[in-house]
Amino acid sequence: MKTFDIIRQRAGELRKHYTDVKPVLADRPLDLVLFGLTEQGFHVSPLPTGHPLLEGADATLDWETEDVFFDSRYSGPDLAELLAHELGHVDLHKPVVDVETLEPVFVTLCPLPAPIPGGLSRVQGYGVKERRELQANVFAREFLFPRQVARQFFLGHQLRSSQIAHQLKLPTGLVRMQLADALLLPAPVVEVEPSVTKAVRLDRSQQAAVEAQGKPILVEAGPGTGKTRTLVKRVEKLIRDNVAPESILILTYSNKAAAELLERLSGALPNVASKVWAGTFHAFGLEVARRFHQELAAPPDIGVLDQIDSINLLEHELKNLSLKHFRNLWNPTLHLPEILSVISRAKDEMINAAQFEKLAQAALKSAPDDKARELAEQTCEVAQIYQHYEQLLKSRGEVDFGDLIMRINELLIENIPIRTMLQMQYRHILVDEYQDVNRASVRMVQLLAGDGSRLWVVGDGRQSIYRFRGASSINMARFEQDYAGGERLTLQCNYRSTPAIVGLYTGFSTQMAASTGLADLALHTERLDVTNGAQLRCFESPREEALGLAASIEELKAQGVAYKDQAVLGLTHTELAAVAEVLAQAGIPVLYLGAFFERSEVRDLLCVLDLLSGRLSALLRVAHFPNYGLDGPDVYRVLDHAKSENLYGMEAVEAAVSLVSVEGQPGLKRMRDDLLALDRHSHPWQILSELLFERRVLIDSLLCESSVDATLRRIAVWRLLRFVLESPLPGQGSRTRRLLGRVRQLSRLKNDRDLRQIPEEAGKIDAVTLMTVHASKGLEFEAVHLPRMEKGKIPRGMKYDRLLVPTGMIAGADGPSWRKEMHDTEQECLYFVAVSRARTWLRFYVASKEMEKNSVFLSGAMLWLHVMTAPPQATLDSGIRAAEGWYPSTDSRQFNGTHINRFKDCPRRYFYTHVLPLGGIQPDEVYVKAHACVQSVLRGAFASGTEPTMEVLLDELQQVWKKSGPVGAAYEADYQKISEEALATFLALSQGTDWTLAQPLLIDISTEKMQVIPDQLGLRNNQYVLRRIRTGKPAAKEADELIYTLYHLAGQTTFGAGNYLVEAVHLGAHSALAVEVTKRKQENRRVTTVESVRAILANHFPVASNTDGCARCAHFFLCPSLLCTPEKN
Amino acid sequence: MTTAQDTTMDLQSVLYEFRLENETVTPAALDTICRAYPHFAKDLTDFAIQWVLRDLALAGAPVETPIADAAVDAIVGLAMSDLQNRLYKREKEARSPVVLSSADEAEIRSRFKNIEMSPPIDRSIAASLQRKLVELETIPRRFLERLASAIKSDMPTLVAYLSSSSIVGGMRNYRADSAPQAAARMSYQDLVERSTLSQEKKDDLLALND
Repeated sequence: MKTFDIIRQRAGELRKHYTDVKPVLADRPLDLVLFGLTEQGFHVSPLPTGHPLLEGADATLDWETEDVFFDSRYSGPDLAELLAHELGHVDLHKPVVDVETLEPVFVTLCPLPAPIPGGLSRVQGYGVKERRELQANVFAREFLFPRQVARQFFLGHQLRSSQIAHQLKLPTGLVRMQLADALLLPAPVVEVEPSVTKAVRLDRSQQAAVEAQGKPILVEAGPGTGKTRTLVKRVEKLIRDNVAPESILILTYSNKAAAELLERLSGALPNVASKVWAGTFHAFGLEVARRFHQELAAPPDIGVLDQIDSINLLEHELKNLSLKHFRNLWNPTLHLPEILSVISRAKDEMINAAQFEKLAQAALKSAPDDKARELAEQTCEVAQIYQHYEQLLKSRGEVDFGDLIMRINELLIENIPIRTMLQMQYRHILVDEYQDVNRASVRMVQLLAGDGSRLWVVGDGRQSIYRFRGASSINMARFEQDYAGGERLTLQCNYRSTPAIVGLYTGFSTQMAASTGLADLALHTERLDVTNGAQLRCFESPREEALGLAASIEELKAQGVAYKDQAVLGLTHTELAAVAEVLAQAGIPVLYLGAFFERSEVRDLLCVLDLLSGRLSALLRVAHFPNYGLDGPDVYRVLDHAKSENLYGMEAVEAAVSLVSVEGQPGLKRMRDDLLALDRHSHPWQILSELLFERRVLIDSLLCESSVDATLRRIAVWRLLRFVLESPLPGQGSRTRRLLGRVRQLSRLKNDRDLRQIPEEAGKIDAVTLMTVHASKGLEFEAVHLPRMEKGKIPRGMKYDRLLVPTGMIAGADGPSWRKEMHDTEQECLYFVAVSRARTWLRFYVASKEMEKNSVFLSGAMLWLHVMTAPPQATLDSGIRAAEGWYPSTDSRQFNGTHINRFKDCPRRYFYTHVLPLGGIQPDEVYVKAHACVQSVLRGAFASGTEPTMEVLLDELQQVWKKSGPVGAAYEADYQKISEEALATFLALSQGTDWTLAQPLLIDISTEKMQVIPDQLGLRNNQYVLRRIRTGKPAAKEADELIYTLYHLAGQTTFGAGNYLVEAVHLGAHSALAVEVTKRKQENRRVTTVESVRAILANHFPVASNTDGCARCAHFFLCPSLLCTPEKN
Repeated sequence: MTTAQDTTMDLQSVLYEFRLENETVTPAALDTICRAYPHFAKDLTDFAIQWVLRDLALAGAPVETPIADAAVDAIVGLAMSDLQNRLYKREKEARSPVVLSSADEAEIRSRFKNIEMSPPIDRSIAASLQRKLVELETIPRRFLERLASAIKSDMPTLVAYLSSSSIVGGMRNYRADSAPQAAARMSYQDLVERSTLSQEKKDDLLALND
């Protein structure tokens, strides 16, 4: 069982023990916990608020005097929770405390259950102390309200959370938190016998690594050689040798590796594990930053920003910088993710803002041509932003992740006393996953380890798969150069895989670039081969391949390899999503959450928040909830009425109750009652937990199935609740809107990796695991399936994006081919990681029977592979059925050229925006509102058909601004100024042409007429001018926009070829450019338009997924929902 | 050179040995002595840090920089002097010649558990005293005498304990938005008045001031 299951079990047993002794305590939680503390020998006493013993907390536990003190203002349920947390510490952590390091435990009751400080959560969640607090929280909840009891009350007695809280005298927040765990997570698998760590002896190479001393030690640990076990044994050995545990520092790179390490250390060394400092480089950096905050000129509670925080911080600052390349009026944040990743890479390389500026200027001076000069200019702008960003961070007393290494290194370099103190304090440094360290973290180790005589590092250079953040196996290769007298040891026995699999990847290792400078991989294994354990299965097409994969999984299942022991690994989520779809159709259970915020149950809940915050379009999804069951026409009536009466959100729902059908009224009333009962100003976690556990909305449908798919849906909802609880929501205004904005940002940045991970609790579900190779590192499976092993798929081709990194910033990155070499090396490492996850069965799949189309990585593997050219394939019951749509009458539909342009981008968006009366603007962001105001004024000007004066435009802007502009927003004045400038530009660019009122111009499309209305229509030099006016800047391929072809077709039809001119005006770029479209392109786009019109007539509105576009779409949360009931006559 | 664990030597002797055996303090030397005297590891580490900081202040050079023999003599002399100064400071702070090692402190702390004395005190008073949260100069002598007796100690040791640095302010376990605030020391009168004792018992304790 995992740690948290064991903790829950202990809490449950203790509760049972106490209630067996005193049955009356079962319904009296405060008395129960007081009894428990007394039984444990602790005295519980109240103290007046502000008593020095409390040190600002609400309760404190003193190990030595065995006292628990609490603030006397607490009583009843809240006090029970406070004291149960302390009882958790008493029961779980007392044995690991000795008299020399007694530290009181403080606890503060918070309005929300167990909050984790916003941006810090990713850094500090894996420290020993933080983990102990989490453990005490879990204990407290289970002790007061066991999950079994929670299920009984909620499902058996059908009680709501508030009724349970009232009946059991518990805090409502605690009840809801525990209900989430009890109802949404899979029940833990109870093991018949307690798990006992196998007392397997170390092999000779492991023993040598454990015993080595007196010099810097690098242990090269190939796959399955017991790396972490050896590290833990090393720590045990140090402790046996009387090394003070407080002097041991263990660093690793990822939270995942840190969590595993802490788990194993706590198991192996329960009495000293908490005294050893073990965690990530970043967590250690944060601890040093807090300890020496004065030297860093930072506050004691120094804040840590993640990427989204940094984007939000810079968003409003860009306009204060004189930028040319990265000034974007339409979307100021467009380039920020790219710029921030460059800054982050600079920090990985220990390049501060001043050094970056110097390198950027040097690159500009030496730029050989215009293209290089433009790139260098962009890099100089990054330098400018970097400088400004650093000033901002310092002035606010905050750091980002990169600073947690770089600024600490700078401190250690400049401040010798601090460096010396830390060297004295941490005399034994161990580094896990050394292949993942980058230049900055290597430097940190050097600064802490001094001559390295007590440094011990372990890693596998061939598994270096984080090159994008500067990790490199070179750090392993140059270990002896970094530490004179360093010794390199290797672990030589593989305990994981069969000889065939080991032979396959050992052979591959000889051709890997990452092997340079490393010891040869020479592993022996004690396992025996199975017949055809490593196979290559060849198919004719990707579809056949996917079906073959499904058949292969079933085949292994029939041979006794359970689904849960099989994994499909892919390089991208796109690949995995395709596999997941086919496996699901074949009836194979899969553990795969996919794109988290695109999951239906997640969007259901987000739509509730969206609706509560005023966006009525969310009704399209909420109306479908089983509790409400409204049909299409009724929803349309609500929307239509809201539009005509200018009503929003719940206001519109409430006003429409009497307008819907008799059948629909009960559902709409239930929805109104449920949603109006929620306090839309409260924290989103409170809203959602109340919706699920108090109003019982959606929860019953979530709980009614026991399939793997249903389990995943519950896990996704559980994950969403945790995400909502832990999300930092800084800033002004509605927390719900801020949360939804954060979701959009995370989706845009594809930063939902953590949320895609299946939680530990789901590990026992019998389903095939689908995961990326990156996520699989450190794991092993009885069978590993690797689809799409074809050329172009692996190794993947390299994207030659622009590189805003100046020459000299990345060590060794000066030649023309370094990026390609780095990319190729990483692809090799990914393949190496993937194949080495397999224990017994390794199966490759290709969609071609021509060997030359296979991945080059397979060429050396053929010796070990059994090739099947006609492998079995699964058969599917049926294809995916397209959902039937419900739409307003097609007779009333008018085809509009501008709208068709949007259909091409995303048909579903077209449906929401133009077929349903939902509108298409996503007005949350300030700059969007500003642009909308300008567009509104321009529409007025176009409609007048005359050339307005600046005074008229400004007057109009003022009125529109008051009504729908970003009034009261931060930097409102700046946006107003930008808007005025845009209007001035419009006037300037309008001169020299006689403008007239633009009439609809008709063109024939298929059997339909389509009207095209240019933004501006005028006459210049006897030529008609059809203008499209945008407020932002032109796109890279602006002329390829369909709308310009439609303008041309309209121009030809109305004015005749040669008598008109099409212009694209971009106010943000001060540009008015003629747009030419070749005849061939015009014809192609005409065909596209015909197809679009036919699709509309056929009610076909598929979703066109586009990460950035979707996250910005007004209908992001409700998509792809479509009303499925045919219209009633 | 120290090679084996020795539990017979007291802290001062170990510190002295450490200083004599090492010309300059290094993490390696510190590690060796800490392994030999693991029960003094914390005191030794604190001492070594003070020593090396003094070295640095004197030499203005990084700790790894080799130091000439003559300079070493001076530095070692100063380090020893630093040790003596620290001992003197502790004595002066304590108004007592008693110097408490970490182990001594731990022993005294443990005696506050289940403490019984007359007039009686409650758990908050005992814990506040144990955590040194009371201003020593405000505590009546008569109370101190009774307290010393109750913890089976003597006045100089108790005074040394209560006047040494508060244990507040280290890294703590906490579940809150921010770390616990460092507590200010309170007066004896505050201590008594904020306790859970009855007014009569509070009066008895406050009467010790007379």
